[in-house]
Amino acid sequence: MIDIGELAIVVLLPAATAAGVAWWLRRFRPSFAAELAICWGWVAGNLGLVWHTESAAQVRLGTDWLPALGRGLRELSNSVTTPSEARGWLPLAVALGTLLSCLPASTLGKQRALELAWLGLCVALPWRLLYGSVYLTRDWTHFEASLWLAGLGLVLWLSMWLLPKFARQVPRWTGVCVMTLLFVSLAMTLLMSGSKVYGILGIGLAAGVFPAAAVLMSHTSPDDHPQTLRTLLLLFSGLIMLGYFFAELTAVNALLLYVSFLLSAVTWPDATKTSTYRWGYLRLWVASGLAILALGCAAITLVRTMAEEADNPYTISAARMNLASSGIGSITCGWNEAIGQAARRDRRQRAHGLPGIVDQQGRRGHQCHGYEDHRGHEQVAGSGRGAKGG
Amino acid sequence: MRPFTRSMALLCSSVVLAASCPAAPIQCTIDGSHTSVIFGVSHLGLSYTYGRFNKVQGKFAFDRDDPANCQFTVIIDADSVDTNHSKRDQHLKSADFFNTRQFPSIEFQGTGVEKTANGITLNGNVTMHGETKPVTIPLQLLGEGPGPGGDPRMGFICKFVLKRSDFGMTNMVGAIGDEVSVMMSFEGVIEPAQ
Repeated sequence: MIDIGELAIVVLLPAATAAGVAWWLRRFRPSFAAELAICWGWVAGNLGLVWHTESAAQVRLGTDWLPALGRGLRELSNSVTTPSEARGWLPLAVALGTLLSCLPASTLGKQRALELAWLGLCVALPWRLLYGSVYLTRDWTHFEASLWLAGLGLVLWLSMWLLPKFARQVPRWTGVCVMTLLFVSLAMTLLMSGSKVYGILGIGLAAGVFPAAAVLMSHTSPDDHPQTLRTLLLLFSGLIMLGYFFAELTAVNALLLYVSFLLSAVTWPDATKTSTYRWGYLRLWVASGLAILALGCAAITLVRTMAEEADNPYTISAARMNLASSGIGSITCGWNEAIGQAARRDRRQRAHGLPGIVDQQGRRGHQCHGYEDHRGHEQVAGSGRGAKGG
Repeated sequence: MRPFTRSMALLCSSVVLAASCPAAPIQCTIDGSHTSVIFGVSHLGLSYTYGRFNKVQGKFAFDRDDPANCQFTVIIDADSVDTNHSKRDQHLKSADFFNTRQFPSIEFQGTGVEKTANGITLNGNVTMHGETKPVTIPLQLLGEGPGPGGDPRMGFICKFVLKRSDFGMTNMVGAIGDEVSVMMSFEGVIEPAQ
């Protein structure tokens, strides 16, 4: 459930910031204009969201507007200076990434030094996002943790080599549309994968693409410097890591989205001019298809889980509620009816020598004490007699 | 000194020493299978949704005579949250609420105990969602006696209210209530005196 204020902040603020930054950079036509505009738009939207969420919560709790806004500002300052959650570190990584994008190679002495700085950032991002979590403290051994962190950092760094430039083989607006579709798919997939907050962060990313592109394309020509996308990849990967490690984004969906991003941005330097054009379109089609596939997979999983929940005898479905309110039955009747049906089904199956409901579907183990439910928890409530036998 | 006289002297001195020393607090380990942590939170102001945490562990030291000797530590596995709806549980565990993969436990660390007319009041710090806040919890001793296996036990109950926004959980405040009522009843197995 996203409220209208959150949606306005997370769409309007990144869009306005991205357009403003692009407008400011339009005369200089730097190679990092697009990613700087989109990433700063996202950072602005993220910070605005922190302020809005805290202030709105305080207002709902009865605090006056001014103190509530002050409290929101304090929370905003805390989130920047001492982030407590993993997602709080992503804006800092993105700010650092844009700084590296802006730096000419000569600033750090050599191109190699700049590449090393990027490598450091690629390894630091997964480490910082996972720091203090169950993965590094409990679930993984030191060896596994090192393998994961090094692997993620290396994949991210190698991916950056694949996309040094925007693709030029296709009309530029087509590329922008595909990128927007990809970011919207990421946002929706995250929303359906168990986290509203991460989904909103994805929406903030999608919101900045069109305004930035519109401003930049009206002031640049196809012969200008190609645009870099490294920070955008850093941000995109960070959101995927958050979704995978801290929400329920599946590995398949994460991979589909990641490959989709690479396909939509990578160039094909060895192709001839005619085939380049054709290949350019083909990979954009494939990238769009993969993004939509990830979205579809997430939607199917969500619908399936919700349907399984509706099958839970303890959940009073909307239809049963309607029956109850129309006078045919009461909520209590619906409840008892459901339990009765389950018990009758159980008895029938046992009479035919089949395993009972509890044996077949561990989820229904809620009805029995001492059984393990589908998540492996010991059922100890109800009669107060625990697994030990009380 | 003959052996018998020496033994008697030792025995007498032990009795005198034991009588002069204050009784040590009773050390207990919380029995997770006879401990319940139930919480309730308002949904749209229409109803209360109740849930529980299935995995709890901890230790406490209890001294009837001197509350200053009491010490309570309770650790709840945040990932064991159960509201009888797996999709909702998944959402509660996500970064929108408890963020259990980053903050896997909810901890109570007692800092002091005061005696009151109705029982005792427990002061301490609750750490949840990465934030630590002081709380005051009225605690009632329910009973003391042998358990099913003959092991001595004692049990308590407490009810208190937490504001989730105090712990940085401001998501969906309004639709989902800010005040969370918590009821915890726990049983401790008394450890044999050292």
